[in-house]
Amino acid sequence: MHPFAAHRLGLTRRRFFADTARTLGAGLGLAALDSLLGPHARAGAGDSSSTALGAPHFAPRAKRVIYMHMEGAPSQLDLFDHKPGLRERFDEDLPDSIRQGQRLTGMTSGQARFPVAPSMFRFSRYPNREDGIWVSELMPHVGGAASELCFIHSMHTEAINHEPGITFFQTGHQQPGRPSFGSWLSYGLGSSNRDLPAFVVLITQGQGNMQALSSRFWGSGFLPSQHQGCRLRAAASPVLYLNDPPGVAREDRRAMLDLVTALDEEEYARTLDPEVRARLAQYEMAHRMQMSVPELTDFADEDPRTLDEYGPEARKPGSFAANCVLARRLAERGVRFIQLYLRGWDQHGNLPREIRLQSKAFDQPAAALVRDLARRGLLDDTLVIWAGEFGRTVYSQGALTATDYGRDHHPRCFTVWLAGGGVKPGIRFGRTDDFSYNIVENPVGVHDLHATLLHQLGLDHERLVHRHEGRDYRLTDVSGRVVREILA
Amino acid sequence: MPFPRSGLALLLGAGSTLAATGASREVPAGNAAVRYDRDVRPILADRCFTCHGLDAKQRQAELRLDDPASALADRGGYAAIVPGQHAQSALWERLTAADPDERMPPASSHKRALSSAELELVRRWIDAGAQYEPHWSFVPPTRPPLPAVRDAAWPRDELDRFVLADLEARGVAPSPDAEPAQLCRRVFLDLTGLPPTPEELASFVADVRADAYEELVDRLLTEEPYRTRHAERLATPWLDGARYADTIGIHTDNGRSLWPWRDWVLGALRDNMPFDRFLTEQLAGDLLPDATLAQRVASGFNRSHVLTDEGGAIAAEYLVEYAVDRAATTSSVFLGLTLGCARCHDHKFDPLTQEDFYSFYSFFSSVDEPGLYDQRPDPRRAFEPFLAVPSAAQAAERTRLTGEIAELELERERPAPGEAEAFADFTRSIAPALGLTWAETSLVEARSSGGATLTPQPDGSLRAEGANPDQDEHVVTLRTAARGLRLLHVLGLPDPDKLGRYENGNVVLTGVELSWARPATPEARTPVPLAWAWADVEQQNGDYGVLNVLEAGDRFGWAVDGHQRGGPRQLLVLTEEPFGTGEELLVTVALSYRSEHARHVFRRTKLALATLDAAALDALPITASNAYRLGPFPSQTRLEPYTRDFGPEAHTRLDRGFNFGNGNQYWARVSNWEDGRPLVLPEGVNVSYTARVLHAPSARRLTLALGSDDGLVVYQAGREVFRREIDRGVLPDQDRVTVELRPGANTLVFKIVNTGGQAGFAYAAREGELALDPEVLAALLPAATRGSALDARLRAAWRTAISPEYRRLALAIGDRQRELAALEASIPATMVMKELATPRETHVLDRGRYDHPDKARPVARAVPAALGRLPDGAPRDRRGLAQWLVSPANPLVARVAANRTWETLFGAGIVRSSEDFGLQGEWPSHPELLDWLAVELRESGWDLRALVRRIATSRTYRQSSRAREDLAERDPDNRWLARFPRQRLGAEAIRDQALFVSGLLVERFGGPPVKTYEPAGLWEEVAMLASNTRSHAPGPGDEVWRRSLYTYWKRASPPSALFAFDAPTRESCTIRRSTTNTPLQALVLWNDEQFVEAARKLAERTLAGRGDESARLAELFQRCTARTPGGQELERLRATLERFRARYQAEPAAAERLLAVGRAPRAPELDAPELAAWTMVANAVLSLDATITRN
Repeated sequence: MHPFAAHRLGLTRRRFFADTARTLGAGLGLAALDSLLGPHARAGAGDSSSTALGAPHFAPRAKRVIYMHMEGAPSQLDLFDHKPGLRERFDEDLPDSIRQGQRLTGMTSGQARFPVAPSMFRFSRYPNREDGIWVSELMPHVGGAASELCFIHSMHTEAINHEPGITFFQTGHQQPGRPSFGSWLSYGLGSSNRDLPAFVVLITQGQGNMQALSSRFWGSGFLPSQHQGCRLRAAASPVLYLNDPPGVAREDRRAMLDLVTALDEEEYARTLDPEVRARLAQYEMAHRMQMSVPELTDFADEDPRTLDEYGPEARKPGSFAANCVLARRLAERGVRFIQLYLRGWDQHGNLPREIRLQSKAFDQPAAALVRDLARRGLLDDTLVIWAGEFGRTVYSQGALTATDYGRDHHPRCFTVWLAGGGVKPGIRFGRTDDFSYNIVENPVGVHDLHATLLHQLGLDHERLVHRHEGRDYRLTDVSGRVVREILA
Repeated sequence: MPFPRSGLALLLGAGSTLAATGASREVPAGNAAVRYDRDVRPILADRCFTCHGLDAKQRQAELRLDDPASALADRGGYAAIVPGQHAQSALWERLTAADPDERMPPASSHKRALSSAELELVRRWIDAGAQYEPHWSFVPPTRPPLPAVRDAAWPRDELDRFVLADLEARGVAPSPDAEPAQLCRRVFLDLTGLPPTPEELASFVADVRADAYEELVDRLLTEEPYRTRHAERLATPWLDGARYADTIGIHTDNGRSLWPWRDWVLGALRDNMPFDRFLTEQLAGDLLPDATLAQRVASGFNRSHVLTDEGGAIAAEYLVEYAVDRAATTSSVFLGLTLGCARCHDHKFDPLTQEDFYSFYSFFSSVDEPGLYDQRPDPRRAFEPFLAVPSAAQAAERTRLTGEIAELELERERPAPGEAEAFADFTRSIAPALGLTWAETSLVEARSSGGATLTPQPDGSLRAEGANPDQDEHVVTLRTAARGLRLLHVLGLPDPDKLGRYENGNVVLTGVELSWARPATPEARTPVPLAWAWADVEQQNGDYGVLNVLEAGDRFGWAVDGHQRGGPRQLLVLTEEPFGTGEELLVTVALSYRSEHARHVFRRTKLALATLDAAALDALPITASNAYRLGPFPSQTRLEPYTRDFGPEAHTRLDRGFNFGNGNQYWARVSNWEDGRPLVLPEGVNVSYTARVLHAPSARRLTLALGSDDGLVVYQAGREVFRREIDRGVLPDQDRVTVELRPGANTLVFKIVNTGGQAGFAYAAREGELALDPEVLAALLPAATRGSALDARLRAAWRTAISPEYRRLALAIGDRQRELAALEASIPATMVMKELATPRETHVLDRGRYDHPDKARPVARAVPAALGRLPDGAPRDRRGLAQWLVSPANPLVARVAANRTWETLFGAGIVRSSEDFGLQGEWPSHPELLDWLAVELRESGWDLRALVRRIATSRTYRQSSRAREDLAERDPDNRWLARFPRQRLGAEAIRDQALFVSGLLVERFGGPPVKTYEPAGLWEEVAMLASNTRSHAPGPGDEVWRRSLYTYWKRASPPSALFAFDAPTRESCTIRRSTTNTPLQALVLWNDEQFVEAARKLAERTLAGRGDESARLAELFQRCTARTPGGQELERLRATLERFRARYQAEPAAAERLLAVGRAPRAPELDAPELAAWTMVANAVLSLDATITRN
């Protein structure tokens, strides 16, 4: 082909890239764009008026998300939803007027009675930016950071079991098949880092009864699969296949990659297929990741005092503390969505002992993360979320004594907290009844929370859609309300 | 209305492209006809139908724009659409209104306003008469005429005429044919998923015959090994659609067995089963008359959805989810429609109502399944309903073994010669052999503590009469001068037909105590400790074992089942030491009846005492108490249970009244637990205990076969005798523990430590050969007391235990039974469909919620009304559904199947949205071609292979893939097919090719899934402790090198290397994979153990070849890309090889490290630095775009 003709061909393709970019959002990095050039992905782009995001729909308040999911569902009653009146009701039956015949899990549906189990933990009042908040002795550090946090006591969900519950929280739908929150964000906003994936997942193994995780929780569903979360592991190879094999040094990989580049360029000349060059761009990004990820996971450049603040486990790879430090480092590098999992909050029995251990692993590092972000000026545009998949019952599952009880799943109300990203700091929102059983003020559903988070990221949840199998899908399905009351 | 054929070419003329909705459509130029279905409906559907369409709940202003009756209706002086007059149409007015409050679509809908080009289409359509027409894909296809073409020489197949006519109308020439080598690699990869070998390539390129290519295609489709490879290639998209995987997907994500269904698919594709049969057997194989095993296996298609075993899950909810998944998958796979959208409300775009959905759903909602499954440790379990699927060899072996067993059993039933005499000898000789002599006694006194009268009877027995208190004790004193007494015999006698004084005739004897005194000092009694007891009958439905009589102080006793069975009862009690010196003694026997069962007292008893030689004690068997359990005791960490005592550890006897916890933690008898079978214990991180008391007549050594989930500690009389700290699932006989039993009671406590998930424990004990079978002990009893029932049992027991002929046969039968059991365990099971006898009633579910059936809206099985109806006389079940699907009246099935076949070879379908043929789907690029292929497929007898052959041999398929400058702007997506599309290979093909070119690929058809290389720890990080797919290890031997479609598919963590290349999780139906390009893909190709190993083996293979360095480099390159390096390529390869050669010569240790990757042995004769250098070059070539793409 005549060089001029080849130039025109390239130009046409480039114009196409630009079109695609407009339809998918300006934040989409070049690398991500290239990957969209598979014919199928291309077919999906630009075919629906409602996916056409010229940019974020409006000016965002937050640029990135750190989402701490407490897998197993922590007890709001023992952590943040203080119900001092329950002390007098120890072992009394939960009044029918409260329970209202609500459906039960298969684990307690056979239970003869539902005795009230007040929290055995002491609560103290910590200053926030209102009249203070009562926080359990299990969470002293989080309590101490309350002036940065927005507590929502009136969260509710539709699922009563873990698997559908987590799937609902992560994908907006209880059944498998939908894209996760992070992949929606990667899809809508792209990456702002050329060397790291837009969506990173960090998992910490817990202390107690651990429920299953599934790659669907960070999967891309029907979105192109480059939007799926990338696990960063506390293993020799933090990203899958990142490390070169033994006996291959960095320069060797460079030399090998130079050969590939030279041969692929000849392939391009032969075929004129822009995919060839798009692939080379991804190879170069892979090579940069090989450098940037080890630098990311090496804490040698951290101030020891900072690490100390995250607690004694901050130097132990894979611990929740270490993952909190990593989350901050990822946020600094512009990673869009950082998902932390802490497994093991499913305390059906023996709750006091188990929740104490879990909280100990969580409390100090989480509070340190919020403070560290604030100190570095990152909290303003980083949205931090803390949530389980549902709450736990006020009545005891199994034997109830003064120092031992368990709690079953409770979807009707639970507490989550947010920080940063344009959310009002130091407030409480929503209220539950005296049993932390029903919401009496300002209910917030999972889709509402999703809508609110997207809103802070500059996205209208009703317009962030993807057409799949003839239907426009969105994270909030067919509902969702932005909870403006908690926005600064 | 039939699909109008004329004028299509007109529409395909030059025209500006427009980014319309749905797909890139062309606006008919000038005054060409605007078509509702193609041009107008997509616009209205996208912008208007949400509020003015099918969904009654969302409808505004009672206006339907999808229905001419409503759109054209007079609405009081005006109409939404006035045919021929756009200016009079309210629709036009609102679409173009200047006032934003008036303009449609409203701002609140977030729908874009119509562009001027779109408005133009609407205007022209109204002015041309606003003709509505049905959606093209809902009208059954008819065979269109072949279009005329100018260049009659170009087409090779009829299908080429459609493509060429279209190109000619656009003034575009097709591309030249691809180079033979390129075509050869293309067709190998497309049809078999593997590239040609250099030899296959060379022989094709050298073949100058005119039909060389057709012959190659025929060979690839019909000859081995290609035919099998072709089936393996075609199976992958089918498995995606069927969401096939090897785990259940939810909660534990436990393993499950469905691979026989996968093998059925492979076999059907290999044998070119007609597609109508392929469809019918998968949808309804279980319902076919006289369904074969294979047909029932095929029905597993509808069982491969995700399943839950999450403890708290609600079964009813999941029954709905499973049926929804089946309905949605069936409709996506066969109809190309997303019926699932109508689950919660009427479909927004397609004419599918909620009633349609639930009518269709009800074909799939009456499966005999539990909804919520229990958890079991076996990862190869098939979830009910399932079938065992023996291979032919297994079936023959099973027939042989069952036949032999039946014959041997017959033989065993026949009395052997001389057996009667041998039995008589045995019963005569056993007493003398053991030194058993019944002592002479005389009754001194018999009294009842509760006031009953014990009257001596002529036969020496005592009859209880008179007062009948709730609880009683009978104290009998006998006089004897015997020496060395050891045994007490208590005979309970019916009187006349009942054993007990209570009206139901039952007896519970709670204690036996023995003492003696000298006649001179009758009050100075010496108690005789008791060691062991035996009875001929023990009641099974409670804590009623005979050993209870040895603990006289409690309320637990020996129940004799007297309310169920007649006849006498025999009790033997052994003392710890012999007593009686030869002088006259008064021996007192106290029988207590202190159970909670009132008046359960023997009516008539007879007591006897006997001597026994000390040496004979070894002949008595150990008697075991019931099994008891206690717990669980939750623990906070997984290690604590091993170190923490919860109480039972120190206990030397089993006190059933002792409370071990602050809850009610008492020892409780375990019922229905057989030795050797795992006992299921509670979930969690906790400790459970089981216990048994073993009564030994003499000191014994006993070996226990134990199994536990997870760890186990064994205590004997409060002392630890065994400890195993381990995480595992329970199986019988995991640990052998030998315990030294002392004479009398031995308490064994088993502490089972659970570190998560379900717990379990298995126990079995086998006595040595010395002891008599417990049943044979009846021979010790005085013959006169035995009765006919016991005699018969004794005779049978003697035969089993002692008769030499019988034992020979029993051993022979036992061997075969064990063989049979092992065979049965090795026969795979697979999940199948099975209908309930009575179908479940089905209603529309309000908003799709399982617990909100709308009782006012019951539904019956039916197909969506817009698509037709079940054929007359067809059964109203899945079989009838299949009949409708493959009938000529069905508008979709043949089109969808033909389109997917096209997609398999061209990378994109004629309808690119191959999963959606509905109103929102894409307009076909060549509508008439699609219909022609669909009719051809159906009329060929649904011959899928003929269709593949036709496409693969077409001229269209053979074109070069080089991009074309002249079309870059006009047809950037190559919808016109003026060239062949270049495509990255699928995940499986990329891995399979690397294995194949390196010589590692192991080709073995079918079988259980295999575990390949996988980064360590991935499964553990997401799995529950209870999961039986918690950890991953590569399979043994050459399993790691099987074709990728056999790789074990764990849904919560799918195979990483395949996942990186866009393989789906298989949690739900995937019709079309995305093809992405990510950095992770590069990392897989460079660093995955499999690809590094393949690079080494490819290098070894190359070095073993002939020729100089350049020739070898060229061969390596050609093996992967099917072309010889050109331009600077060879020079670059050589330069890089030289660089790596220098590098590894300088550091041979690094070379050694690189070459150690992978389990394949390394060619020992090759120099390490040289091989390492070639390995790196091979690693680069395997990563080339040209390698992972087919041109």
